[in-house]
This record gives sequence, C-alpha cells and structure tokens, in this order.
Amino acid sequence: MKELSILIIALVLFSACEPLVNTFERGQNLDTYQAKKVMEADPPETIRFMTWNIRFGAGRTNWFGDSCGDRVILPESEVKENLQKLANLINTVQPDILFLQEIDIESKRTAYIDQVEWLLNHTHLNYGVYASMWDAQYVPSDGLGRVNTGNAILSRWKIKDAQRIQLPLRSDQDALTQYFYLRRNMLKCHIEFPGIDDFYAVCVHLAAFSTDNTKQKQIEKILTELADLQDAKIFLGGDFNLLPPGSDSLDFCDEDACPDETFHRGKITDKSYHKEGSNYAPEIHYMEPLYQHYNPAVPLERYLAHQLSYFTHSTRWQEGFWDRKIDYLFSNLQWRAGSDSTYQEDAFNDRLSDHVPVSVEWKVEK
Amino acid sequence: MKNLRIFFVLIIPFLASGQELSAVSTKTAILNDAKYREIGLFQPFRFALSDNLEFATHPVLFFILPNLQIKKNYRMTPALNIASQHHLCYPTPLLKMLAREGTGGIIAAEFKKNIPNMFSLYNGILVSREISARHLVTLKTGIKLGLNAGSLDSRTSIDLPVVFQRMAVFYEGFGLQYGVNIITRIQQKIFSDATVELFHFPGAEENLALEYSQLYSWLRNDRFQLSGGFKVVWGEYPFGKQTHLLPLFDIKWKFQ
Repeated sequence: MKELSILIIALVLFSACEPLVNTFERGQNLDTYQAKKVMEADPPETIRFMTWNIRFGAGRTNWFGDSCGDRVILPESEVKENLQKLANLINTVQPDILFLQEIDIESKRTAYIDQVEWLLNHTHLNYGVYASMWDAQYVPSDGLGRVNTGNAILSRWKIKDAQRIQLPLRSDQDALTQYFYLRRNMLKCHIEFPGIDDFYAVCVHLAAFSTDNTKQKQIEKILTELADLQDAKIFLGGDFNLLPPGSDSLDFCDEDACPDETFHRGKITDKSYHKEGSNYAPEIHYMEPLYQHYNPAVPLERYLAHQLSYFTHSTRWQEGFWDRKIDYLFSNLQWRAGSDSTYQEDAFNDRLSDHVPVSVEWKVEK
Repeated sequence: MKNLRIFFVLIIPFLASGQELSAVSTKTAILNDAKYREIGLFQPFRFALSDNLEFATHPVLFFILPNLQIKKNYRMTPALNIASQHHLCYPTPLLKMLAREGTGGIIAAEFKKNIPNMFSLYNGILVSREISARHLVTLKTGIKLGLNAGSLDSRTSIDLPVVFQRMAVFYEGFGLQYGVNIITRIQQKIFSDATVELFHFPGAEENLALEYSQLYSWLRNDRFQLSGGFKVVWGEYPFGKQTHLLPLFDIKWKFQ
C-alpha cells in the first residue's frame, strides 16, 4: 500500500505541468533581487569579499542530511532567529560582495523563507542574484518535500549579466538518484562597480559526497569558464569541498561517522571502507591548478604553517572545533596583504553554520 | 434549425433519463436501485442499501485510512433530486505510515509521534436537475470539519495538489466546499463528466483552491465503465500559488 501511494504521488507529479525536478537543461532564468531599501555608498578604496556556506539558515542543528541528526523541517521562528544571527555577523564584517552557498529560497525545510530576500533586507547589501542547485517540486524522501536551494551573490552594487553555469554531475550515482540529486553550479555575474567595466564575481559550490573524480571535472569546468573572461577582474569564492594541497589530515571518516557507523574495516578497496565525502586523500591535488593560476585569500604557505587557524568546516559542532579548510576566495588580482579573516570564533560560539565565513580585501585598481 | 428539431425528435426516445445519466458519475444526488454495487480501480466500493440510501468505502485503503460515505436521497420529482452526503474519515494511520525516514517519507519522521488521532466529517447537500434529456446538472455545497485529539504541527502538511486541500481542514478546523457537476451524453455510450469545485478555508493563510475535472466515460454495458480525463488544480500553498494539470483514469465494475 505504501508503494502504491508513492507510485500514485509520483505519477501525479510526473504528469503535472512542471517537471518534478528542474534539470536546468534549458538553463535557468536567474532570480535577481533588490533590497527594499537601497543604501547607496561612494565607491570605496578597498572592496571586501566574503564567502560563506550558510547551511540554509539551520545553524548547527542536528539536521538529518549532514550531521547524523533527526531534524528535517525547521519552524519559521528558528530559521528567522538563525538568519538574524547570520545577518548580525554580515553587518559586522561589512562585505561589499558576499558569496553564499546553501541558501534556500523556497524550501519546506526552512519554512519557505526566501533567504536571499531576507538577508538583503536585513543587511547593508543592496542587490542579489540566485542560481539554484536543487529545485524539486517534491522530494518524496525523509519528508523533505519542496526544495529550492543554491548559490547567491549579494552586492552593494548592481548586478548584471548573471549566468548559471552547470557543473558536471556526480558520475558515481544511478540514473534515478542522479535525477533527484543536486545539480551544482557556478554563478557568474558582472558587478556594476563605478569606474570598472570588467568586474566579475563568481560563486561556486562543488560536490560534497562524490567518490570518483567528479570534483576534478568541476574544477576543470570552472577554470575553463574563468579563462574565457580573459583579462577581466575575477573574484571567485565558494565552498569547494576540497582540502588545500599539502594538508596534514586527509581522512575524516572517524570524525564524520555517525554513532552507528564504523569505517576502515575490511578491504581498503571496499566501497564502505570510507565514509562518502570524508576521505580527501585521492582528491588532495585537485585544488592545485587554482592555487597555480589564481591568488588565494590565504596563501598556501601560510595555511600550511598554521592550518588550524584557517579551518572552515566540521560536521558536528559538539565534538570539537573546526577541523578542515574547504572554503576559499581566489582572484587573478593581488589581494591586500594580510587582509584576510577566517571567523572561526564567531561562527563556532554562535553556532551560525557548519562553515566558517572567510573574508579578504582588494585595493581598487581602476 | 429544422434539421436540429428533426434530430431531437428522432434521438430523444433513445436518450437516457436522469437516472441513466447519473450512472456514469457518483457526484449527483441520484442514487441507484437497492442492492446496486460498484467498485473502481481508484473509486470506493459503493453499495445501495435501499433505493434512497447508499454507503461507500474504499476497501483497500480502509485499513490505513478508515473511511465511510453515506448518501441519502430525498427525491422530489423525477427531474429534480436532492440528497445529503456525509463522509467520515480517520487519516491518522495513513499519516503515521507516511511519516518515515528514507525514500517514501512524505512527512518527516520527527513528527511521527506527534500526529494525533484525527477525524474529518463532511456534511453536504447535492441538488441534481435534468435540464434536458442529455444534460444533468448537480450543485453541491457542504462543510467539512476537522476534529483533532491533539495539536497537529503545521510542518506535517503535504504540500501537493489535491492532497493539500483535503488535509487543510485538520490545520484550519473547518472548510467550505462548493461545486457544480455537469454530465452530458455525447453518444449512446460516451459521456462527459465535468466538475468544478471550490475549496474555501475562511481565515486561513492559504484559503482557496479551485479544481476543474473533465472526465470522458465509456459505458460498455451495465457492468463496465472506462473513464479518462484530466484535472486542473489551482491552489494556494504555503510557498505561493500554483496550477497543476493531472491525469485522471479509472475503471469501474458494477453489479446489481
């Protein structure tokens, strides 16, 4: 009977006007936003960039999908409280361009709050653009229901020519799972900064749980797209789900294991030997081309010398501090030396997200 | 015009009476004779206890969605029929079954323990009038009450067309329903069954939904009916307004 009801619901939805899942095969008309109150400012001498995976405003709650929890659908009051905390830190840091990942605009899990609109109306930022990575009318699993989550760029200045560029899909999934699964993207837009014609902001979020070379293909796609911008001023930020080359710890299976899970048993070639997405060893060189072609906000030498200070992620906050770096800012220009910040304490103490925001400044060169 | 009159004079003797027109649909005030029974692939099992009293229940769903419908006819004239309709439904077992982890989890498992015992009770009036030998029109109005033994978390809502509107009563307490159904005989054995229904939940944030269904039925004989068509659902949902086009299909077997 259970199967019959699922089948009927699936049949009904498959035959509805809109497809059950947006596969973005025809591209996406990007949602653009403007704050209710636009706060114009004189062009500054330095521009501050910030990247943050905000975990859809769920804070550090034990969500079922990524932290061994049992929570699925959050109440509106809790989401708004979390969003207010995110807005407080954004208003403290005062970024001019903000790259956001895992931001919901129409998801049942976050009370259908349009978080891009909400953050624009509760911060100093004026304009926004959103590109979905998961747009499903109904996910008939775990009570998730409707989901629309993705990447966004928020800016003090107007945004134009925004483009959603599809990144390669995970190639280690069966067709049905892949149909319902996330479609990672690269959000590229032109910022109308006064006096600069070729100012590009790019936000990315790479695959999290792939066990093959999907992330490498996604990096290659990003590099190809960036190369097409030629001599433009490029600022790239996002959650790459990859460690910097040379990192000390590469295997987080034990750290990420849920209480009923054990790893590193049996043969190393077994699929269950590692937890999906927790063993970075085979991928450790994937970030090298980015470090070679672009300037990171945190130079590799400095990171390697003081790794703990630059960690930006952990899966479970109860069991320790941040334990790996997977969030980055890059540019083809030189960042202002020593202007980077990794807000570990703020994000940890206020349980803002499972990611730490990172910021850096660029001295305007017209 | 003359040809049209000739056509009607010739065809009227072969056209169905109101009762025959109503045989293709259960949405009218007209009931079948005593001991009549029918069952559909998706429709409930109906049985007429007498000429003016009919019971219906979905036998397969009954174990997870106990339900009972009663229709009583207060016939006035052969051309005008009035009936009252009463539905009782207990969805708690079905909702608890749908609250689960993994694939098929329609409601989040975190709410499973908090789904209270709930009943819905619908009471309505149907008025059917045969406006010509080929057309039977039914007007419907009713009120649906949601009776919960405890509070139901709004996050358990199933925000899908058709389902959301039928579950809304458990969150809002009551809802009003209005409808019009028109059955038209197109050919000797082919019928059109068009229905418009308005769902209204006064005071609710998502308080309106409109459904239009168009079915075409082939009545092979007194015992077998094949139907197909579509339903358009416009509704207000927690995420906004949306329209869906859904397919309809059913097979019915009838016994006397």
